[in-house]
Amino acid sequence: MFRTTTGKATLALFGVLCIALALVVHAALSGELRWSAWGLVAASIAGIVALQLYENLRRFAFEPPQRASEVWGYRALALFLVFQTLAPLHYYLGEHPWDERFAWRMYSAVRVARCQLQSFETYGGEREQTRISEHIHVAYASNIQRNRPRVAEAYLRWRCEQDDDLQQAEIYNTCIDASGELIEPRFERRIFCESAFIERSGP
Amino acid sequence: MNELLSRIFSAPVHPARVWMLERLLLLVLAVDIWTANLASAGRYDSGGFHVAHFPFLDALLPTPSIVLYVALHVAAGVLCIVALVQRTLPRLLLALIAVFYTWGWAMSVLDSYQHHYLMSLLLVTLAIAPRPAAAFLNERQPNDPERQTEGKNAEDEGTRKSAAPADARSRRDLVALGANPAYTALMWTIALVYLYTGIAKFEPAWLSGEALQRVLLLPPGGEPLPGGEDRAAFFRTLLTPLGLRGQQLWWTLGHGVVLTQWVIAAGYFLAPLREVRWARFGHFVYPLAMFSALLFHIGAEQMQLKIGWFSWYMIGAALVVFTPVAVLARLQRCAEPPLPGRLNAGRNVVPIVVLAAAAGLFYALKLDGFLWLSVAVLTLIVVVRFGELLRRLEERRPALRWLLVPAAAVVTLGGIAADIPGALFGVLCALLCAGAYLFRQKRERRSASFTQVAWGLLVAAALFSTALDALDVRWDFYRYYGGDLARRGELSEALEVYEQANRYAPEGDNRDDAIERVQRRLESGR
Repeated sequence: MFRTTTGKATLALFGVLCIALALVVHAALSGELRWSAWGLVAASIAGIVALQLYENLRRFAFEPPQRASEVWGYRALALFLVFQTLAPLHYYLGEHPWDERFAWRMYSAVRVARCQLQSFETYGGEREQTRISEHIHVAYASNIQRNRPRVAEAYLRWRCEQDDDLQQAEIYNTCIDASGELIEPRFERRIFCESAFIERSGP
Repeated sequence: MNELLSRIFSAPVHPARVWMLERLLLLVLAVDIWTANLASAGRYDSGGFHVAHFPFLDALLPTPSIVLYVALHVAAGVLCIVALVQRTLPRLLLALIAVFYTWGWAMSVLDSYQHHYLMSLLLVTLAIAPRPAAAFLNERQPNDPERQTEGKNAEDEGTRKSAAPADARSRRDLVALGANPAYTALMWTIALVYLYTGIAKFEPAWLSGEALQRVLLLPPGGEPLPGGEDRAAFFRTLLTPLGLRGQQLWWTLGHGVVLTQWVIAAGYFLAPLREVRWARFGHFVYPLAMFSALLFHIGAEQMQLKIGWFSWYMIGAALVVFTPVAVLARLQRCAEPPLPGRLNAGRNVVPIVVLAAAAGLFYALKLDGFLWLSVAVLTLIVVVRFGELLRRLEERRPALRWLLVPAAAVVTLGGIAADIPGALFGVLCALLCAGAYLFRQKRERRSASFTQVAWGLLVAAALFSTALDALDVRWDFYRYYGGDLARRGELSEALEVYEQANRYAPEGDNRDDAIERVQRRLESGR
């Protein structure tokens, strides 16, 4: 394997990977983050995978697909894979750091933030605290607790529709991150039922 | 471009690997749907409030309800079983399963489990991928690698050599040897999940272990409170002997999680090359990827992360993808009835006995997850083998097609006996879809076995009933639903639902306290 050019390149990248790993481990044991070493780790793994795929795929004997349905099948698969590769980037390039859906962010640092949700409703000028889970399923309340604007605003609009006497409904969500620091700005939404206007602050 | 795509998707993969992966996925998915998803179906009665995953779905789809949610999932599960007993997975059924399953989670943000999204991606891949010709190993051409003596091909730098045997030049032969476009796409789908999961954790809070401490409900510093549960015990036990304690332990864990994800991702990106003779590099990568996947997901289970069946899907996938193919080939051969006149007890019986013994061992060691995986593989082999036998019988006795009628009746009764709103509707929908599949096959003059579909329906009915009973699905459904109704102040309905829950309560448990509280609230008018 190492007699070929790509084999030698793979070996070289493997050497780089080992050095980079050693640097990462050394930094971790000292309680430091060494981003450059991590960058080398990522680049060398990616390079090894790419070289192996290139080297082995180019060796296959094959015949081009003979039916149009096969051609379209391959194209559909390829497009689907491209979609899957690009779809998670919506999170990293978008403006909604709290909406981690479809980005493969499971148990991320965002997810472990602890949030306290408060809601208030105003009837006849009197403002009282309420519990969202008394009106909708607690799982929706959890969604709002994760600063999901669509769910929060849909809930506020729905409350106004449900209760003609409701003048104003508010949601406040205060979150602290994994290290205990308050996350600013706070998530705030307020709806004025008469006009259905929603005042927004925060994510 | 066509050449590039052909190369990418023509990586020769052993049929046994694909067979096991696809069918195990469908079997586990069916049981997962019928247990985890149905248990939480009560949340879909949320007093008329719903938010779909995408704004356009709010306008397009009907309002979610318990009946709709349950029906979609029951139908998807039944069709999974019907599909997996067929010789080749029927594209129509796969497409319907993908639509029903995706609709099921997409209709509301109540279901934001990302592994449901992954399942949808895998189902869509199976539905759209071109299918190879050979299903069972017995059907393969004489020149396939399985029947060739193993030997090393000389590497020829600078010239192209065939990865296939020297006389297998035609694409038909290559397909028979195991080029399976779906497999490459499935592998890269899973690889992308691990890649992005690693990227998601590539931030100071995770790398320092702070986020992981929070996930495990440990106080800052990561040491459990006196008398408190230590969810990191598994990794503490592994790493403390290496001298890693305190901050070093957590930094190692945080860094280790990211690195593990990327190693697994690399393994899955290279998985389509598993059977390629030049992939000697794989002798190192594949065992490492399997070890990493098992360590990571078993660790996740030990840490009691509430992620449903996701860990076991991934453990199963890693075992199928990275295990030496000889093991899988043996198991797949057990699912093939022997050719007429050839009965090989060693080939057909010994692997099943070994698998059953392994299941027994896992049971004794209380390794529930591995026990269920072994049982799933055993079930798969038995079910597929019997289905194949029925198909052969049907060729000799076409009257056996009428088995479809009692099978449909049995599965309908199963839907009624489920006693969950929407289950019957789901079963009827599945029957309609199965009928549509048979009709389409006949109309296009393709082979379709009525008895195999009937067998699939019978197995689905049996598994559905067993899953509901064994995992207390009805108990969970009604008690969660009752709790939600009580929280929202719908007290009369809550009472009724709690009474239903008590009918299915496991021994030593009931909802009497909750019923009492609701009755008090009703009496006091609150």
